[in-house]
Amino acid sequence: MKHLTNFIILCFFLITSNLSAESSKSSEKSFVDIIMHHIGDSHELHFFNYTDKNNVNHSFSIPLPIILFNNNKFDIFMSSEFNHNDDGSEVVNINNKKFSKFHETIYQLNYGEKKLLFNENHEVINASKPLDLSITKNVFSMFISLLLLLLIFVSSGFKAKKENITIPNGFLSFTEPLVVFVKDNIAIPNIGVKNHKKFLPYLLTVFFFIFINNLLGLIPSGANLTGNIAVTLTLSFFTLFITNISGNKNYWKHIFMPSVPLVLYPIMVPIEIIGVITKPFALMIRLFANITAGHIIILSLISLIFIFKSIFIAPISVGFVLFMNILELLVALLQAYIFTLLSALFIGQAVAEHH
Amino acid sequence: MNLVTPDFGLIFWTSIVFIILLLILKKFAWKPIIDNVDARNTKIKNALMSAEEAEKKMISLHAKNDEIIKKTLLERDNLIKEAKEISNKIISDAKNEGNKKKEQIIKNANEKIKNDEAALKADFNNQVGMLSIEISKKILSKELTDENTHQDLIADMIKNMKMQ
Repeated sequence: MKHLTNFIILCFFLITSNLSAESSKSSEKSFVDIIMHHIGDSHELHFFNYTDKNNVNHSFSIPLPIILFNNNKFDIFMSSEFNHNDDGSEVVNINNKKFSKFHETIYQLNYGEKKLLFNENHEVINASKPLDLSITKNVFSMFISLLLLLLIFVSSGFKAKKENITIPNGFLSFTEPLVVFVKDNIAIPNIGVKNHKKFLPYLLTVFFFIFINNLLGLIPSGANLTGNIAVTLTLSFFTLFITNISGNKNYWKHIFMPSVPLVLYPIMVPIEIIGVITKPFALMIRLFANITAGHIIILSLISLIFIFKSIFIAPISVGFVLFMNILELLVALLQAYIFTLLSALFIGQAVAEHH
Repeated sequence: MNLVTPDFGLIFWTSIVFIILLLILKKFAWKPIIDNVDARNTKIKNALMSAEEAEKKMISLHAKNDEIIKKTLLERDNLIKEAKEISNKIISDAKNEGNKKKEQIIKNANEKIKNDEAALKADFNNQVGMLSIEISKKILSKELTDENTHQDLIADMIKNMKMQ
């Protein structure tokens, strides 16, 4: 059975390899752009494009609010003002200011300029970047996850309060085992029974926040929130902050007065100080890379159909995408677990009484 | 928006959303859920402990019951034995008494019979004597008459005596 599948796959590749020879390098570059665009953030909720009878291309998308902060003033407008334009050719006039969007970055044109101008390195030369606090696709998705988390866990919290000591049912029978899992398998083994209570709310929140957002990211046309470096940076910063705020005497002694000969201090102390940063840094990169890689693989597999320009590649692509999607379901839980586990480990090291 | 360049807007919103989540969930979700689990844990622990205690109590009760049953059986046997003894004694006593009484009655009866006999004999003797005297008196009074009359008189007398 396995040989047969391998054989079929090989045949498809042989058939399509002839076709792929025709595809040029430039089209591959455009696929990279498409994939990068998909895993990146965006100022609108884009679902699909379609071409109408008059051969006009329409984009089916939901506009999102753009919030810009510049010179102590907010400029708020909908992203539909840009007319789905992302190459800087569309200029929007708001509050006597001219804005243009290029590669999902919003530029405010300098006074008197009429159009975005670029130098030979595709860098904008005649505009400034205002502080962008827009409700982007990622932020929007995060709000949905916020509502979902509140709905699920506050309702189970109320249930737990109301039913008091009885057997859990409904939402609670799903959430309680997960909460108990985080408590008994992540918090207590790493932080210890004595100290874990203080950090448990953070660990639980970060676990379910990552888990839910990983799952939301798997929905087609969903946002790649946990695969965004800004999000993982923020989350790992929380871990860094909590770890160092709650670090006890032993923790700081280990950093600034490690039990090594004095001669080694010039080497050891900087290494330990760097270690404080690298631990959460690894957390940030791990989550970002894992989730982004999963999305890139799925998008690449789908792109194969268009790169080979063959319908015959579709079954293989779809098969692999299905496999990847199922794998990503596991990764969604696994990465939430790992992030929480390592956070607990770092906090546990910071509050440990002795080695 | 580069892939590895953190975007400030997203950092800002993530921080806000995460802090809101942390504060709300801490109060309304994690605390009640964990409190509930802890409460249930202690309840189960207590229930298990009390069940163990109850089992121990039951075992001791069983032992006590067995002892009581044993004691009761022994007591019953003793009671039966005693009752048998008593009944035997009563029967034998009654027998003895009955025998004694019987003997007494027989003795009394014998005595009475003897006495009566003696009395009767005495009486008889007396009467015979009296009669003999009377007869003799009558004979003496009628001595002069003939022999036949004598004979008749004697016969008459005897007859009378017999009738008496």
